[in-house]
Amino acid sequence: MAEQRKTTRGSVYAADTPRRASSARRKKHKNYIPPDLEIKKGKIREKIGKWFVLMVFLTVLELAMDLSALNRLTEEELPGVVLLFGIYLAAQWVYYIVAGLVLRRRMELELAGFLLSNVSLVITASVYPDRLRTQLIAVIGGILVFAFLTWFMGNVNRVTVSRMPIGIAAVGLLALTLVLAEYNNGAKNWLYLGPLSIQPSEIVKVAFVFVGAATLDKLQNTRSIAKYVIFAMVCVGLLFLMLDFGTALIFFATFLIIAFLRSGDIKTIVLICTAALMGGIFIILYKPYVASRFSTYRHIWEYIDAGGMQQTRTIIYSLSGGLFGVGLGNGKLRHVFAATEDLVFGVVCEELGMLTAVAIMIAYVLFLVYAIRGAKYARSSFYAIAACSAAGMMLFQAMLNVFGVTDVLPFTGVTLPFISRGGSSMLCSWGLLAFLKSLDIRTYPKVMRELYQQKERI
Amino acid sequence: MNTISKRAKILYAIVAVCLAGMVFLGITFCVHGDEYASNTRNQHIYSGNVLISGGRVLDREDRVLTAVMEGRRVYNEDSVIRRSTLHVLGESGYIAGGVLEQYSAELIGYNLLTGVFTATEQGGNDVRLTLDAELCADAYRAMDGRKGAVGVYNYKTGEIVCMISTPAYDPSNKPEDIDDNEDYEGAYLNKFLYGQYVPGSTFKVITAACAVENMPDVLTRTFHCDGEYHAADGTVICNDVHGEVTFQQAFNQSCNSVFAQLADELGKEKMTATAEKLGVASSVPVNRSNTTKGSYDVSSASHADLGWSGIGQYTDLVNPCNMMTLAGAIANGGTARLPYYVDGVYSADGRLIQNETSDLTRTYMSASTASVMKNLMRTTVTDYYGEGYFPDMEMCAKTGTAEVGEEKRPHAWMIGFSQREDFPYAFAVVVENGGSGYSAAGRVASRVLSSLWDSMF
Amino acid sequence: MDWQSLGAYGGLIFRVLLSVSILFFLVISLLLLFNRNYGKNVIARFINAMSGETVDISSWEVSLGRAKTCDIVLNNPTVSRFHAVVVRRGKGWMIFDTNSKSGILVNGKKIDKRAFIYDGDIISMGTSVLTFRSPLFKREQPQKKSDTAYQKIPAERKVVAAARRDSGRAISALVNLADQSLVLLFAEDYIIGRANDCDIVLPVMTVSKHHARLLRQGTVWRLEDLRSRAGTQLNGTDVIGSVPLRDGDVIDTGGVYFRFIADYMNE
Repeated sequence: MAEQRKTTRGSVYAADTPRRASSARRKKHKNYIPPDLEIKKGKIREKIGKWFVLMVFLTVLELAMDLSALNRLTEEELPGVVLLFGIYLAAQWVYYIVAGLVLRRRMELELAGFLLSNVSLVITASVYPDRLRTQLIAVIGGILVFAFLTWFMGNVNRVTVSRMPIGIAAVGLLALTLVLAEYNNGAKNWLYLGPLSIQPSEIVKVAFVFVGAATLDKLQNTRSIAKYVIFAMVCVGLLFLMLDFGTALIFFATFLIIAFLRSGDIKTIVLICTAALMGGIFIILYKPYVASRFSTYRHIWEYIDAGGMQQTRTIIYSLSGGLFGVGLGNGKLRHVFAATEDLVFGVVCEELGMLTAVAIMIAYVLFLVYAIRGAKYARSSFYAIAACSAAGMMLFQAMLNVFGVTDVLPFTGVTLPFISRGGSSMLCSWGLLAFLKSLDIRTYPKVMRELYQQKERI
Repeated sequence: MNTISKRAKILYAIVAVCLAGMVFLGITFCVHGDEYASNTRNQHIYSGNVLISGGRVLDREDRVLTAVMEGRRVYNEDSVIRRSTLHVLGESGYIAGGVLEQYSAELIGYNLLTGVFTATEQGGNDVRLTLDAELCADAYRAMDGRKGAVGVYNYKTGEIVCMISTPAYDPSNKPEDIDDNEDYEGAYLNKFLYGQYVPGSTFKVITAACAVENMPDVLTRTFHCDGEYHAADGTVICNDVHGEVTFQQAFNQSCNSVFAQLADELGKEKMTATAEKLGVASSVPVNRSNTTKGSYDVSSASHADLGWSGIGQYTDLVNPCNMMTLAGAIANGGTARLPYYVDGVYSADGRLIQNETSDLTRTYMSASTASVMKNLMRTTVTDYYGEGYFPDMEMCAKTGTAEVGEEKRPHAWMIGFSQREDFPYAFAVVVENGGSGYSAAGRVASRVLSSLWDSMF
Repeated sequence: MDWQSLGAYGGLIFRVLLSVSILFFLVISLLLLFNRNYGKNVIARFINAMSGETVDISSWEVSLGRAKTCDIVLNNPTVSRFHAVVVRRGKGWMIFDTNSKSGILVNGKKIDKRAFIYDGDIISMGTSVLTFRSPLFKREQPQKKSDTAYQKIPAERKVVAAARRDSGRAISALVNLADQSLVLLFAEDYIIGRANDCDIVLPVMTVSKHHARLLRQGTVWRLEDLRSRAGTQLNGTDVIGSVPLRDGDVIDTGGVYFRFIADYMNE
């Protein structure tokens, strides 16, 4: 009876209209349950078998790494380090029991995060055993932040309401840092609170993604992008004033990603990039201090003991390690300044092998690929944008670190996510991982249930 | 939802850039890996400037010239061998161009897969030289404390069997006063490969070749030497009054007047051209080094100056290795087999990993000119000096006594080669301030070549 | 082979195994992320009130507008480029007005920026009318009824039978094609329009205040257009003056479609 005819009053069609029959075809019974889920006690659950196997594999791997890290420790340091390693292993199993068995969540991202964090712990234990405790606290703190953020973002309402206050707090924190902080190796990006030293920009990174991502209603409201651009420029500007150019660049790149995802307007992006490029060139030409930081780029061998020292040593020792490394504890790069922070990629290449280093890079790449592919199935554009920009930010930062330290790009002092020693960096990395986790609706069983409980055909 | 998902696809560009960067980095590592990994800053294999890991350097008889034992570098047990092979091994930071520096990557056995594992755990690879350490020791003793250089090589195969430079010191016991003590002046330079000396009468080889090639009748000419040659604008003093001499006799007796006259007659252009052809001012590649160029510049010379340049004075400078190679060219029908001293890189269990022998040749002169030159040099021994220094060797030679200033004794030179097929060696000897070419350099050459002869027959 | 080099080779083998395992583990655990077996389940539906065309919704956020990048494209000049966004939020579904020129009406009432919508609500954007269906989220209290005979509940046959006996003739009816609701024509004369004083109130912008008239003449119902702006169509042709209705005719009054049933009892 209903004729499908076009009238002047228009017709309705959707960009992706699934044919009605197909959903009937896919339904084997009223509620379609995919193979890796099962219904138990009326609740939809994940099957648990594979996570246990993976956890065991992970534990064996970590034990191997931990044991090989012990070879340079003195008798006094040994028990402390072994204890801390044990605590980390226990923490992972506790997480598995709580999240994997009881709450029945998937654990791919956590497993990857565990392994990467373990690399940082093992390097810290081998090079600075007395600082292992701080690093472990940072890792566990990161996991807790991850769990909290994942829960927090479960409710879209909560997310939309909190974006504004978080944005204000972020700008405030950066401004505070600019005022209060002291210079530390040329950048004014550290706050010292008693025995702790934190890098506020790392925390602001998470907030930046949070504020940038938006639900679809906000996105279609064309006025909101202007507010976001101002927010982003303020953040980048403050970081520039703090002379932390690497982090400013990361924020800028993330801003470009978010702006494009929000507006789809490539012309504006290109315009902004050109303006930034011109601004950058202007600064380099007229502020010699800035230019001097880049004078060693592609000339590191001429300044082998001066400005190019860190990069040349990184290359020399990375090559010395070969594909499989010289073994934990046997490296020489660890004696160079900032080996466990900025140069940690070289330490991994030298001691654990270039194959391991490549694996780490592949992990970052896979995070981004997952975010891009998963954007289609997201509950809200907020999660899609957040995951893509978080993963993009992480990969971009990793690239700046790895390529900067091997003279493919100019050296900027940014850390390698998860691997660099440093509390703030670790917290930030786990925080960004939370965005990836929240992208997947399988993290939120209540939402999943709704999907499968449409008992009536509409 | 699809809008975001479509836009997100642009982020694949970041993935692409990342992968491209990693490929670029990988290629850089592959191409420059050896060079970077064997940098002296690599503390896996260097301590300060000393290479403390890696394989041994061996001579042609498998004598160990230097090796690493328990994390320290050690040298041959014989102190004279140590001194005589010092320059060929080199000392990082002091003596450049040595095997330890140029073959560090091979000694370490670096490869992209295992990094420095071969060096630190498997003892690296060995580098075998063509030198005979005992012969080098003999040469060192023959120099008897005097400064200079000696080189002997097989002109058929190119293998250098002896190469020393003095002064040298004992690398195991480096003297503390090495920088102040005059006796050690120049100790850091491998004079055989990198030295430059006034050639003196050995330059007459070049002048003679120039004459042979440009003056068809020179072999039948006779000359008159009255102790001097009067050029248009000056005089060249001869070492003796030779009277009436043929070209050959003039060469044998090393008559300055005749050769100054010949140089003057030939003129600047031809002399310069021949000098260039015979490699005076060019470099010879010896494995991974290049010899220092000599110099022959008569662009602003007067006639007298030209005359002096023809007898190896004026501003003439030559390099001992280049001269030895020139001798090798004459011995080999005008085309020299270029010299080398590194035979190859071998694994610890004796397998050849990399062949470093050279099969390069260079043509210096035509075969006919070479045969004339050979005859000239042979008759110098048979008709003038006698075979006393080189019995049975059928030696062809030319000496030189190079004036280096009024206060100092002249440098003593000798270059030559044996024309025996079973003893195909060419040599060059220079003794700084040694005095007479024949007695000083000749005696050294005699000792070295006799030693070589004895080891073979 | 002595013990030292044995140890060295052992170390190398250990490192080979370790680095390969790390690579293997990271790649495997992350590739697991990529399998996605749940299909696109339909969780809501929009029905075009005019054409009956339906659009299935399987995501939680849907954009509507004239622009091609919207999830639901409305090819209607009265609809803004980015008109509205419908999202699943909190306890139900919401519709957001994203800077549209003509605003949004939910069940006839203009909304202010955002409003909750429930199963069966009629959403007007410009001249486009869509019905929203999501069975999990029904309105708690029924829609305010006007005082006319416009009923959503199908009438009891008894009532209709009684009326038939009383009047001695068949009772006709109109079926609203958009929501399948029924209007029983007990009386003689019905004015159809947007104004509240009409007998059949259609709170749709494209319907004129007094749009059309249904008049019974004997056993035949006649349809008349009351000089409405959009006009009245019968089976696709414009109505000029007064035309008779036959069983099964489709009436179009300003975008609202009705099917005429001559005898409800024999339907």
